[in-house]
Amino acid sequence: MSSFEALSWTCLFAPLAGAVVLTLAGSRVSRTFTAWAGTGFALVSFAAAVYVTYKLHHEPKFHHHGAREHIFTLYTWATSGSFKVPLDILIDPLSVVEMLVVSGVGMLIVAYSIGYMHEDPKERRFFIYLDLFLFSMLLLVMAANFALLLAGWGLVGLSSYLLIGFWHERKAPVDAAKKAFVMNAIGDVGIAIAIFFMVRDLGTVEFQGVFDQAGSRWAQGSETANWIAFALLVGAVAKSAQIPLHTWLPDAMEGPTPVSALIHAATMVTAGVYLVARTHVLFENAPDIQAVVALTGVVTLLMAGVIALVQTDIKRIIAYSTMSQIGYMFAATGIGAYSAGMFLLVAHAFFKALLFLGAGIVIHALSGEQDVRRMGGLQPALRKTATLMWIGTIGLIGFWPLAKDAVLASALAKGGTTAMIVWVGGLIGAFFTGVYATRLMRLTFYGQRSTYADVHLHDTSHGEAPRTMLWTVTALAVGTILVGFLAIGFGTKDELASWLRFVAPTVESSVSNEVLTTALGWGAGLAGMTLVFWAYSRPERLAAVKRPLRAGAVVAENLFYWDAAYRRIAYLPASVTASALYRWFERWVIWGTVSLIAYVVRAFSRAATEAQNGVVRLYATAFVAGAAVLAGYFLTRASL
Amino acid sequence: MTYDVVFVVASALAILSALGVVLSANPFHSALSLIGNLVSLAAMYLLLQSDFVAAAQVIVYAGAVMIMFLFVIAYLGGRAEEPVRSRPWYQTVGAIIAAVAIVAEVGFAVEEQAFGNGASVSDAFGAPQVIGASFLGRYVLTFEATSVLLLIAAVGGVTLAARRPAPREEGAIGAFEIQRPVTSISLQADVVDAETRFDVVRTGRARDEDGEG
Amino acid sequence: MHIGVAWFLGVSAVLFGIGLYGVFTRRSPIILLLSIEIMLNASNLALISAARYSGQQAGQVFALVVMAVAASEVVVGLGLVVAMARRRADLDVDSLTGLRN
Repeated sequence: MSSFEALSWTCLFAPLAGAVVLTLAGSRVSRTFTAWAGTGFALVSFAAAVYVTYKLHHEPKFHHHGAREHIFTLYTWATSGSFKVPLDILIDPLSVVEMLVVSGVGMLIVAYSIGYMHEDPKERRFFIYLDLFLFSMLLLVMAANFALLLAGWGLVGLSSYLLIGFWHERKAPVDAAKKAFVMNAIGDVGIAIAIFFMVRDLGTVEFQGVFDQAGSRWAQGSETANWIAFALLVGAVAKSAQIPLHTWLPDAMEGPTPVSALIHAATMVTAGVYLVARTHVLFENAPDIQAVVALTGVVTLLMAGVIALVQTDIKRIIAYSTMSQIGYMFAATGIGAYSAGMFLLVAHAFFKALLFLGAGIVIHALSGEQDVRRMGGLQPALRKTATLMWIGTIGLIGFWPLAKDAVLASALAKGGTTAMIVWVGGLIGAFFTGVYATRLMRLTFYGQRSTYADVHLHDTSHGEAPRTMLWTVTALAVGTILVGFLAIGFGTKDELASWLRFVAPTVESSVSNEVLTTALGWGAGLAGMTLVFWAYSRPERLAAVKRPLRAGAVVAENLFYWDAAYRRIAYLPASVTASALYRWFERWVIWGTVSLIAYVVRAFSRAATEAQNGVVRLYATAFVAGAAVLAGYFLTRASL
Repeated sequence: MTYDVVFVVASALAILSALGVVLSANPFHSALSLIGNLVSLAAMYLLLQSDFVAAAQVIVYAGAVMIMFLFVIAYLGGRAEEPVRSRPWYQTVGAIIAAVAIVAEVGFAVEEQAFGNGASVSDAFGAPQVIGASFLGRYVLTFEATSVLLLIAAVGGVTLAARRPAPREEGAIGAFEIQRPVTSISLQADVVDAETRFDVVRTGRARDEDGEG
Repeated sequence: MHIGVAWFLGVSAVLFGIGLYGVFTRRSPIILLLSIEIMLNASNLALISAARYSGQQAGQVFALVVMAVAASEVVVGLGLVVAMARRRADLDVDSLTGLRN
């Protein structure tokens, strides 16, 4: 096994090894040790990913099936006749991008948790779960066949469930975890159905095999092709919290902040985007569904942006922001600009994690307060945090990196109804983004310091936050800035796009498209920022702005009534059915049968005990009866 | 002809007296019925040319054994009568069925055989000399064993009925010793148990352990 | 109709059945012993009939032995009854449940 292959496997299995080792070590090691060890395993994974990327980079850039695409097989996982599913990983430009993001950002977030979870008595379990999650996510992105992808998909869902419900003594996290898991399960079904089609028609689930044969086996736009793409879309939508399977994401904020950062911003929720980008051959084979992808993205980005405007919980604002940004990514993949979508994915991982972890510092400093209405004027106390979060905000609004603008420029270049809807919707969304992002900063850090904050703010003279927390957030900020250089556009070499050229192509856009789009995007963002600063400077201005929007705000506050609808459509019928089944079927049929059997046995044994009651006459009767039977038997036998 | 009449009369008497034994409430009447049964059977033995056995039946059975019974019944007086508790219906029915089953089977077995006439026997068939010769000849071992048995029975009977001089202190437990009237007695030699009665209290419908329902 | 040995055996069976009924049904030990006597006599009758039918002495000898055994058994049984009565126990065989598990 070459060092290249060995390190690829190391990247995948290091976090798993960490989880196993730390589980077995249990309470024999201190909590601090577990925290640092968990981070260490993640660091090993990241180092391996860096090495693998470096080696891959030095290979000539042939088309796939040649260099720059490596499949390493561990062993054959399952066979059934001629159908085989090997345990193999795929190392190609797209997967190493994901590997770096997952292990890099992941490692930083795990390091952040050393400080954040320091006072939690159960923090060992947290780090074990984090390592488990990292393994699952890496399995997802490194899988070379759909079955292994689905395995990683499911494991990621499991890790999400475990981590959201980490504080399982409280009801809200447990409910949120269940909700997330159930909705994710719907997505799992989608991918499974797609796999069934592949097995039936193509006899393989290997990426190579499927992508090569898909076009010839299923005609473009045929029903089968559409079903497959649609099934995959369902999976992506569930995992990435797009409409209509999005209601779990805000509730998932019940988990600790590092969880929100890692799983629900940087990595897991972007798995859907990765899936579409990876399987883009299948989506291009079903153009109608691909259009649905784009439209789903647009609708989500707009709706989420609106809801984020009225949220009062700092984490939920960022959560809806995530939903909105992923909408942009979906829109990108929907119009064929895969590498633009990946670029936004990478940039988003950095600045969204940055925002979450910065918010975590604020929450930590306020002893757990998450309501922005109780914050305000924290900037003098939390200077570094504020600065770092501004970097994140700039990234979010789209000033730098120019990821969002890349997506929209591609849309403009592509033309056609869907793409234009994306372009317009994206620009409107940019305005909303500017508003809610700035609102977040304004309410948290500026203005009058709230009385609550006065009372509860930690003494920050010794530093705003534990060192691990500040340093990791700083690292993320640096990353955000550096990532921007991956794809500057405007005619300069687009590094990322050329790296992903064969695996996840993009829509080339002209310089003029880019200039126009960027100008409009920046303008929309600036407009949003200005509006916020203008409105919040005086209360009467704020009231003037809010009054006409009252009706819309109500709708947004009720989350566009999605939760209420689901409750009526799905939860209540299921709950009623379950209660009815319990009362009628479970009680009478199942429990009744069991107790009937028990009753019969008991009655029978009670009757049988009578044979031993000590009354000799009864014994005599038994003798005679037995003798009579025997005699009868022999007599009849003799006569026959 | 006489043979048949005697047979019919004797068997009718035997059966009727047997019924009288098992159906009488008064044990004295039962004992007397049994005497009648024994005498009828002696008559039937005579029909079967077993003179000695018939005589022995009357002398030993009807004479000695039944007298013993009557003595004991007289000794017991009223206590010999059956306790008043009614018996469950299935006991009677079951007993009838069992009895009928036995009878039917025997009848069945007997019918199947093709009995010819019996062997012809000499007049000395049931005579005492012949019996005696058998006992001291071919069946001498049987004879001796029976004597031993009778000896054992005699000793046993005396032992069982003997009055034991008992130390009358409370708490002393010896064989067959009791301090107070008990409702029942256990006939094991070394342990005295107080037993519960036959009609054990049903424990009732068992409460469900789960607490559910 | 000629009274053959089958008739005697039939009577013997009936008597046996009656004795059996008595054993099953009655609770007084005295009556129980009397019923057992009926059964023993019934089997005696069967033996004598068989002896007459086959012409062999063995049946009569056997019947005499049975009589001796019956007598012994009655002695012991009545001894038990007397012992029970002396202990003021209930003269009811159903109360003697010492064989109960």
